[in-house]
Amino acid sequence: MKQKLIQLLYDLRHQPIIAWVTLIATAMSIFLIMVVVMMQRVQVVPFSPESCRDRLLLGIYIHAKSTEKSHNNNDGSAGLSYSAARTLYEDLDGVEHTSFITASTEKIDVRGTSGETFALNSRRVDSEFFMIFDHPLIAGRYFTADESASAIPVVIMAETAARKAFGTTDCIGETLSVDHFNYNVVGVVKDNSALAKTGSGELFIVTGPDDPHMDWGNSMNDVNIFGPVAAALLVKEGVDFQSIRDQVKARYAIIDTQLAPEEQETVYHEAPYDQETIATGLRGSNNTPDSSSGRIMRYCIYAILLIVPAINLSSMLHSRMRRRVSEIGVRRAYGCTRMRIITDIIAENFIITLIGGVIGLTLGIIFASTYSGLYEDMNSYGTNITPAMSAVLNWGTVFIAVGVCFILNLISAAIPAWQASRVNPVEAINAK
Amino acid sequence: MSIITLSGINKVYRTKEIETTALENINLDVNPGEFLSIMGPSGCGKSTLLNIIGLLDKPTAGSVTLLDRNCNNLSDSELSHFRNKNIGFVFQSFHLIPSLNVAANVELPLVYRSGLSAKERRERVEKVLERLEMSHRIKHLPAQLSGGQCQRVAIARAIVGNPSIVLADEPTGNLDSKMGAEVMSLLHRLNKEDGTTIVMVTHNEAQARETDRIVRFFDGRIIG
Amino acid sequence: MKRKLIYQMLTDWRSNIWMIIELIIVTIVLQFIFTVLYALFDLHNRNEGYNLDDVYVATTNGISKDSPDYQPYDSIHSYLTELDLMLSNMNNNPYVELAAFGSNNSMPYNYNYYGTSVNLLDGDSITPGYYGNMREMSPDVIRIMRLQGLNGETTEQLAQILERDEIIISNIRRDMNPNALDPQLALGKDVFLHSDSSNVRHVGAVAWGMQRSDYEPLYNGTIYTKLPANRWGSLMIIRVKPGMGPKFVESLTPADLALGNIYLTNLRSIDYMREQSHVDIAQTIRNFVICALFLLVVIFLGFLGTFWFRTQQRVGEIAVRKVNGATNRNIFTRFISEGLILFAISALIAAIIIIAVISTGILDDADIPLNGYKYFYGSFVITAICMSALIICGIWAPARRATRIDPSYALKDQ
Repeated sequence: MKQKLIQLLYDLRHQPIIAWVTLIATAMSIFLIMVVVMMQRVQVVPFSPESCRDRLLLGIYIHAKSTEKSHNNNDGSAGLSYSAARTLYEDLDGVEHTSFITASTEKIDVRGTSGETFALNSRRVDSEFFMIFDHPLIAGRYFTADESASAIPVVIMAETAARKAFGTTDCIGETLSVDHFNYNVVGVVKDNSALAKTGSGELFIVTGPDDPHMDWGNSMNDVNIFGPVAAALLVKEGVDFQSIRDQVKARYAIIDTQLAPEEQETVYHEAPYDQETIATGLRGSNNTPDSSSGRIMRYCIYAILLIVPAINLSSMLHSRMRRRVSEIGVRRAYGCTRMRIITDIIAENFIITLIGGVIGLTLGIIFASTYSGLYEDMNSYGTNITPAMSAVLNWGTVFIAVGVCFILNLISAAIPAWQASRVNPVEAINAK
Repeated sequence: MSIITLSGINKVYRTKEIETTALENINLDVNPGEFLSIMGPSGCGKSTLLNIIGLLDKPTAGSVTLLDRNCNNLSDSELSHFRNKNIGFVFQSFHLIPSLNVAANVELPLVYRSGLSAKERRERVEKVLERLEMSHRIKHLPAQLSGGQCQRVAIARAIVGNPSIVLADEPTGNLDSKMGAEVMSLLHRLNKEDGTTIVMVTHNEAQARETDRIVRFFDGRIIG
Repeated sequence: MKRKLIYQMLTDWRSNIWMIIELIIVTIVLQFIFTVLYALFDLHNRNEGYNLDDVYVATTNGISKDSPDYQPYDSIHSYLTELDLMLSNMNNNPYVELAAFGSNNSMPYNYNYYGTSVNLLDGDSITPGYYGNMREMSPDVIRIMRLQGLNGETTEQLAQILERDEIIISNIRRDMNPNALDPQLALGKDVFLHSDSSNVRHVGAVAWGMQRSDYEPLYNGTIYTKLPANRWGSLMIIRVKPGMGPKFVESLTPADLALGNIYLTNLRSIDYMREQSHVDIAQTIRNFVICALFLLVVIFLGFLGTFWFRTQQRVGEIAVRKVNGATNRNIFTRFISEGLILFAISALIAAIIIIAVISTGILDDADIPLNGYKYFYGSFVITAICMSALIICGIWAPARRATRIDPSYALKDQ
């Protein structure tokens, strides 16, 4: 190890261009790969308030169309009504908590004692919501099951929103005007990032089966299946997601029975969805989600970001080895096997790759945690989407970075190392 | 009872157009503890012969027996291990590794030998450098040494693993006469004190005459 | 001279072949990136047939009857009378040119899918349909938009057509909807909407369609219809006098934004909505540009390193050339030509691969219309210029170094 570092320093001094090119190209490659990796991981690794991502399933859409024998040609899909959501997702086996919420936040005008009217990203949630998503309390409490069931007007605010409305987070019991209705503030929670698409919000408004806001009324059919409701499921530890899907699929039959008089039936699209699907796979309410195109695109990017620099690094290493043929000859003369030559060169190169990797990863982490433009999409424009540091820098990220370095090292060092091992010691020693 | 036995060695280099015979029917026995010098004009095949004895090159025909072991059919890694244990090399242009300091250069053969701890290796390196009066240069890089000192380090590297055979290819060729004489006396000392068998290629008649036996080469053949 | 150079490159084929592979990959990827950027640029800069500079939008809201803030109405007042009053107040604002109501999807940069089909009422034969997004608006919105007709109708004529409660339909990407009805065939005819043959309307004009995004082609048409007088206008659309936007926003008092049970929220400029709706595409463009820059830097570094090594390896050769009369310029151009020949070979192979890919037609399904060869030549030229420039930059320093080699080295080396 020490010898290999010495060799690197020696090369930096005696072959500066080639050594620096190697280092910079490695760092750049690792930087960009890790930025892409982190962009993707922020969508799937658990972080507060979505610490539950590994066990989270979301039922978010329903799709119905006219049956074949029907004369109409109706086809509709949207979010769920409260009743449809309950029919499909309430009391499933293997589910610890089920919460009915609005799938996305909505900007709603509020006014507190400070007198200023301003819009907050609001989400309507029931009492179970806080059993699934972790929103650390700063003051007060979460919703009770009673408040949720009887639609008692109460809200929970995020810290910054509470300060803006009341000038303090000590505002339990104060009245907040939400869209010109008065609500009682019962809790204040920590601020959260809108990158948590299912669990985030600046204002949580209590909701329940009787909440008129959760009812769109009838649109396409007499059986009211469409609405703004999504069902968030916290699956019990160790329970297979497929077993939940099987139960849900069976429950679609209940809705089909309800729709039968109108000559309509549901179309099942593999609901409910896991975090990766929620984050990258949704393709509208009338399609089966598919993360594969995003994944293929990502793998193509990884391949390009690895292979193109690897060709360069390979040629740089080849150049460095050409300068060291006589050394390789001497080593061979003194009993170094071919295999040892290969492993030594790969190990030596791995150190350079790792140093480049550390630089690249550090830059990547700084970039990914400060530049929120990385995660912006249409729905998040203008909201707080800075990722939690834990979502960007964690053992998983480091592990992936080391893995990427290893792969980059292998594909760039393999050919030059093999060529070096085939060097004829006699010619190598005589070469000058 | 010879330590090196070459019988019927031929070496032919072939390219598309021409075929060059470098060695023709060489038979040679070297006894344990012998200091042998090989002489001959440039391009007569003496370096090729040394490489064959050193198992760096394979003869086109004939057999090489070192320490009673026939080396013709050893695999590449067996050859590596054999060289590592039994043969030391000294080159005309030293071939010290420029990025490594003196200690690390000397340590090289031990690195490729299993079963030695870092501490044992260091002790052996220190011991051999002390013996060759190079201890004060242990941390220096080759570029900071004179030619004579470089060759001493190279000799230290050749003997640190206690090989039975040391092969020296014009060890004084790049040195002035004073330094050359020093290096020669060092080789004689090793030969006497350790009983190491030394095979040396040289152009220097005077140096050759001091050794136990001279083998003369001309056009790939032994002529005396 | 050139032939000898190529011959020398052949002897160094092992390292050249890898550079060529690298150049081919990078050329193909850059070509793809530039094609997409070019196509987006082209989409962005097309004529839209309307103008929304200096236009602001606010959402209208009403306080519900259950709210404690609700003020009961007498027999002559209602939400709608208050809305009209608010609108006329807005039209009296000194900075406002014109304000009017529209449905919640009556402006661009709105991904509302609310739409329907338009069918010709042509006897009882079923004609091919036309699908369009329904955009309901008062005729003044046509004036605010300065919408143009496709057959030369002026904004005022179009506004009057809407005033008469006729509908205006738009152009459509018929290459993407080959079965769709040509909107010009429906001009001046009676059609029915919602697949309901009793819902008959008259097509008064064909005009430019409203974009959902500047980067999206018109997959669907636009159906401009009049917002019925008794219907709530979800959006108040305001054109301010040129450049007066910031002053207008400053001038608004709480009284301008709330009147009785009506209030305005979320006042924003069309520019803001445009920016917001283009966040995704801006991110794509940014990622593509970063990727292109990365690849170009990699090429630069690759040539710098490789040619640095080559000049090192060829010191003797260069010295001999100098001894035999080669000028510094000869040496310099020799290295530069070597790099450019490598690129020329790679670009040729890359072009063949790209043409093969385009001819399979798989790119025609892309979200962004790449239109076969339409953007190929332009982006290929851009790719070639960028790559040649970076290759020359990369070789520059090593080639300069080669010119400084001392000819006496030749003697030493031999």
